[in-house]
Amino acid sequence: MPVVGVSGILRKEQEMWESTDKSLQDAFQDLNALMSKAKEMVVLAERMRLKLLSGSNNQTSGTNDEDMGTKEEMQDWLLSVGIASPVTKESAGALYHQQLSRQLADFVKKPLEMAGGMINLIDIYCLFNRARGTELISPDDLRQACSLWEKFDTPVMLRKFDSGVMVIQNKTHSDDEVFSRIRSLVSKPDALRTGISASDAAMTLGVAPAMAKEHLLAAEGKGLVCRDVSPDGFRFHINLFPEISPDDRYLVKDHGIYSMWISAISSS
Amino acid sequence: MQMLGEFKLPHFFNYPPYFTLQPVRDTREKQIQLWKELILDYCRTQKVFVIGLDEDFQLFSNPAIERTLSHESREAFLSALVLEGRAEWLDKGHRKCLILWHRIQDWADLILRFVKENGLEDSVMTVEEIRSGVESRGTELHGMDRTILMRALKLLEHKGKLAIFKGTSADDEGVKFSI
Repeated sequence: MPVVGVSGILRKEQEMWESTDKSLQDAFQDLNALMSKAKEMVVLAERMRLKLLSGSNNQTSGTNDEDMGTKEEMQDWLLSVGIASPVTKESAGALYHQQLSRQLADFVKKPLEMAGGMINLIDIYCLFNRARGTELISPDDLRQACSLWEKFDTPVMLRKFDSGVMVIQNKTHSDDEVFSRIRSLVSKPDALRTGISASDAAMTLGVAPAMAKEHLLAAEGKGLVCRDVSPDGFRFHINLFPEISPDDRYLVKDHGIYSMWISAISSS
Repeated sequence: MQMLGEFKLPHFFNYPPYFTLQPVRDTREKQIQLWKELILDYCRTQKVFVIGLDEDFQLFSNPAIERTLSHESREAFLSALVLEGRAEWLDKGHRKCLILWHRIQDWADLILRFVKENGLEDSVMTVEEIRSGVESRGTELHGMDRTILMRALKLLEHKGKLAIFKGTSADDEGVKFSI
């Protein structure tokens, strides 16, 4: 057997490949074994689910307390491994989601305060799961837990903006208060000249830029501000359109926001 | 106040949101109304008959604030004029728009008045003479758009006020008035 020279090197390479190949095969053996076991597990879980389903439909079955307890446990266990139980989907919410909901309401208090009263649902998803460490919840679990808040007394609520963005906010949060703060912001001389961006609003309102943008869009919807889209970016100005007379486009009333705006832009 | 040629621009021409198509309905309606009127008045003062969407139309930009109307906005505002009967698309692709700062009926009335004032009730003229002849000088007919003139003449022909015919030269068509 040549151990020196090029053929020696080549042979060593070959041996290395062969041994790697073998370890890979061994590893995959284990995986294959795991896969077939997993298949069995899924079949088992399905069978149990069906049993529960038939069990609940069977009115005459003598349901003593113990049986009911086991059944609920079983449903919770199934839910926690991600298998939805058809028995409880329509009901007010499985025990699992109720507990999660309460837990979430508590957890959310601190981040909400730090975020200025409104926080993106996606951010909560990250924060909450990070805090849990293990037994992570799915986005669907989160949404369901939030929607359960309506059913009991919490200081927080889920809110969906027109843009589709979902946030958690305090029930005491007032849109009008935010709008009046936005109005004063866009009425300042600098803002009259150049408008404001979402980042500008974020700094004044003390919220994340993404939240500030939602507030600005909501204010736009209410007719408080108008958008200005250009290569400079996406900015908002105070809405002057209502101030312009439909009968005389050159008319400017004294002491209105329109004349204030004209002074502001002429002084630059 | 800023001027564009001889046209006096309003203050809101310097308002950046005026150059962004507004999404909120009430705001947008007001914006469209302002643009429609501005376009008609500007075209009337400057005797602009056709606007090409892809061309540099002075009214659609304000270099002082570095804003220009997007193609989408231009089409939106011109379409609003078309809907009102104050403009017409000259092509399917909506690239060129005929601006009717006088409606066709108004032009027809102007032609009738012109004919009466110049004692041309039974005479014959070429189409070109109507818009560039000596008599037309000093009137609104002078330098008017040929397409619009033909439309107005056809309207009057339909009402039996005149007859359009092909001239002896290959060049121009003629009109026989019978008012």
